[in-house]
Amino acid sequence: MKKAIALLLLAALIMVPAFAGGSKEPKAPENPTVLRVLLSEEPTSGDAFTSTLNKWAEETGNTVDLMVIPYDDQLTKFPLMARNNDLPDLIATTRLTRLYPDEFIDMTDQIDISIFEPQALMIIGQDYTTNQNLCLPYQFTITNVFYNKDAFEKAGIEAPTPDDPWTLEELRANAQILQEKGGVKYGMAMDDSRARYDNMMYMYGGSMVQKAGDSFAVAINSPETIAALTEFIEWNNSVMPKAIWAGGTTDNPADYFQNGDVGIYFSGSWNYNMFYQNIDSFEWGIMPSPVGPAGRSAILGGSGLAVPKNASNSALAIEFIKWFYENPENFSYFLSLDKGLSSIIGVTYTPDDPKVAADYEILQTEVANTSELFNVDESSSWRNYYDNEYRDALHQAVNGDMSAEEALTEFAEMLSRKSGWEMLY
Amino acid sequence: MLNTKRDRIVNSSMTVLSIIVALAIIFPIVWLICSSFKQPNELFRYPLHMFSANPTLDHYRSVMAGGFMGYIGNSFFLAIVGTLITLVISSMCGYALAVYRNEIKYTNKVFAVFLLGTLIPGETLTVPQVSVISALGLYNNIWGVILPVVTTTTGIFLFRQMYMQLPLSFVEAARIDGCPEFKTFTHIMAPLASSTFVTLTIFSFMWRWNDYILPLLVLSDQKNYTIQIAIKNFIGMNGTDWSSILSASVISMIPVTIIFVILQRYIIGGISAGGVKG
Amino acid sequence: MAASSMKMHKITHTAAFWGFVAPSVVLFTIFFLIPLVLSIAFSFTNFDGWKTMDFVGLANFAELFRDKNFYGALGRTFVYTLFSLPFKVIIPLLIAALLCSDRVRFKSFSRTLVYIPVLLSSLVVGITINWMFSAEYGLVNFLITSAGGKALDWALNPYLATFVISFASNWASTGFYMIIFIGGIKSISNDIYEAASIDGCTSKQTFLKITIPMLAPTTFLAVLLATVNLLKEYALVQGITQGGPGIKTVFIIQYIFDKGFNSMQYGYASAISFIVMIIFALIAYVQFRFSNNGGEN
Repeated sequence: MKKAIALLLLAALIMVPAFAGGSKEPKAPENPTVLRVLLSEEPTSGDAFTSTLNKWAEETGNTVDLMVIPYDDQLTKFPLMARNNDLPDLIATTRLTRLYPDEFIDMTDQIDISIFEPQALMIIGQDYTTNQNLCLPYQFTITNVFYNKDAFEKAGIEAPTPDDPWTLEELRANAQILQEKGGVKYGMAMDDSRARYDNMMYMYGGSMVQKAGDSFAVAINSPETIAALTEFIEWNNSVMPKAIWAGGTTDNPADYFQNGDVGIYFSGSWNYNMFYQNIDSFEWGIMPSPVGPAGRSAILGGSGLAVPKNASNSALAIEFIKWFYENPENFSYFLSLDKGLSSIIGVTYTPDDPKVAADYEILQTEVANTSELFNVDESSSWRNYYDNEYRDALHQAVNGDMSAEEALTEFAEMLSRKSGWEMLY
Repeated sequence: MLNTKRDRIVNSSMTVLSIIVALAIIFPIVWLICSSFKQPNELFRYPLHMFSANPTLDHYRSVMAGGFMGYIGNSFFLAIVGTLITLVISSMCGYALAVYRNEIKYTNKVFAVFLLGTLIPGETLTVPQVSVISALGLYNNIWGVILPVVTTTTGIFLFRQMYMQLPLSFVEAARIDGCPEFKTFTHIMAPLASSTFVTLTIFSFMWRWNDYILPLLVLSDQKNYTIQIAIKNFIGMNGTDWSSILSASVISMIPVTIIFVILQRYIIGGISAGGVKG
Repeated sequence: MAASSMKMHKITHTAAFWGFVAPSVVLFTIFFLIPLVLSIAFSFTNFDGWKTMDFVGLANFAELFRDKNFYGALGRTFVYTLFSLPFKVIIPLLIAALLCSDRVRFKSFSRTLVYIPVLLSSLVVGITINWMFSAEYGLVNFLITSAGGKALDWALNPYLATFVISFASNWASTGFYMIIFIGGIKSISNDIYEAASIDGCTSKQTFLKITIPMLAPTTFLAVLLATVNLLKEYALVQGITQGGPGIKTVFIIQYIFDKGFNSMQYGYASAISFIVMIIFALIAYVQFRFSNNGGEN
């Protein structure tokens, strides 16, 4: 019996890779008018992108077949789809094209790339080594600072202006006043996302890596970065909901802000629309981001559209992409629902509501604040090595399990070992 | 056993105690259900109230409008078919492991191999598992979701445990009467385990109802998704649609609860019925 | 003659045995043992979940053994398991005894209520428990502050965070173990109870002197299942604390996912799984031996 089982296992082991390799012939589209689109979360009603897809379907007589696979599970599902000739025709993503560049169509040949904002193309495409464009930006976002106007008024604080932004010291002092007198529970809050804290790191002049010839060197334990994290820990201990950055909760500070419990909220333009729809119990707005010892910082981001090479109906996906980007009317339609930045040169969005227009203006001034340090960090693709570990290091430092220096040095050593980059400090 | 006054006091205080315990255990769910009828802006508003000032069914309507009925149907199908197969194969396997334990020396070794199944969290085997599924040509096939999960060590364990308690003389008597081995099981021994069948039905139905990762990975058409995937999809990267999640969660509880209420009295009835006391 | 008939029987019975177990054995082999072997094979490679798969020998294991976070996660898992185990077994036992007593009325109603949390998926359990224990808008903190107390840092204090996970886990499994215990209690012969009652035993004596010892096999089953399920705790942690504060509630399975599957280091993740599996198997084996020496079978 033992032998029989051993044989069975052996046979299966041989069979599995043979089958798994499988044939990769794209199958003929079952229905040439159905566009299969992959999203990472259930679209809310009135979602900008799905509304645009529906508009396209209505105008052209095609059908859109949405499928949602949560972000984390896409990593397992995508290779499986590729192996089984079951790829969707259009994917809204940034990560999949970065991880599996060979699987996607180079859009450079399909559409005039010069219509896109170069920054959007670069940040969302995340391709720093080739001239390919696998991922076309549609949702273009930037980090920004929301504030609770009612709380500011109550605490007697004047919001900063783009010409006269706050320093980090002023920010913290005002957050303290807000917490004491503004009727909010927390002076400020920041999303539990690296990118929000990273802005602070760049304001201090810190960075993850530095250029070293053709390659990079690990700079994450530089004095600037340690100073930034040390200050950040202080903020968490005094004016921020500490649990968010210490980990330990699944709460989203956007909910705190919407409830009027937070004075100043560091998040990004993607939340604007949601706040606009949901907040009715207090006045709020967008204020310019503060200035640190090394200047200001904002981080661009967003999401792009990609078409897998072996999708059964890639032709239809490209048809949609042309319809979407090449006709300004269609892209404006999307933009007016998205209320975000435009990734197409010359297509702009002018809000009707004067409040939205004022906020939008401040949002646009943030674009100029993107830091060169950020661009270098991005181009190193350090995240391909250790993303979770960095998050854990920050959580432990904020929680007080390690000092800022210990946490960053330990992470720097790990990153250096894994990437083969020298340590600078 | 006369019903003395003291007895009555003890009886009623134990009854009260048991009901308090039960209510305490169910309370978080009651709280969840009440929250699902609140307006979105009431969910996080202090002071918290048990009941909404202005209860709404809107979340339920919008959740149901989005293909949710279909997901419920799929979950039902998977749960029923999967449970039927589980009952058949686990009862046979557990029976054999118990009844042949004296005649066949390696039964315990076979059982030990199955025990491995409980030691390893299924999630960590997901990737090789789906490789096997797609190698067998079961990708995007309903059997690719059902067959991998029907063997449950707990099921085999329960049946083995059940049949270990029965005297082997039951089987020996049947053999002397010339009853074939398989018929002995189907006609004599299986009915004795009715309570275990009911228990496993409840467990298995619930496991299948709550399946998430395999249907997501193996089925390629969103129309075939299960209710758990639908709930998870309301959790977004930048925000969570709490109202939808709460009402979807409440809807997801209803069918399993009904199944349990219908079946639970048979567990008790079955166990004390005949045979067992020998 | 008798000997050959014995032999015939032996053969038929062996055939019948394999006939009975075949469906389970075949499915188990295909969908569990083969993936298991594949996973063990992955642990010697740098498999990324798709295309890269080179043999790297023992490199993954070498990395693992000097990975201090691995030991940390494993240690926390053991502490969590030891802390939660008594509650996970004793509470359901007491409730089962209560809900089997002849003195109690509305038993099936109460049993149903106790069982309902078991029916929920870990996703929904996580949501429900967050709704109770969230530090900001949770009901528990609201009640504490309404009563004049100070809101507790459920998410910031590692002990409280671990407690919440343990609470969620126990809450969601009490009904399951209760059913197992009810099954065990019901299979104890009524004659024994009648004899005890005639001898004038009190309820307490009956429970301690009869129910508990007679339930030994059931208790063993419950302890074994509970231990293994606690060691494997993952989905709830993900839904409640996500491993925080810091990494104070990262248990071993979450560590495997964070380290490996989410960053596409399948080879490394498989190596951790392999080692963890051996450790879990040893623990289960020790429990098994312990209970066998204790007199069962």
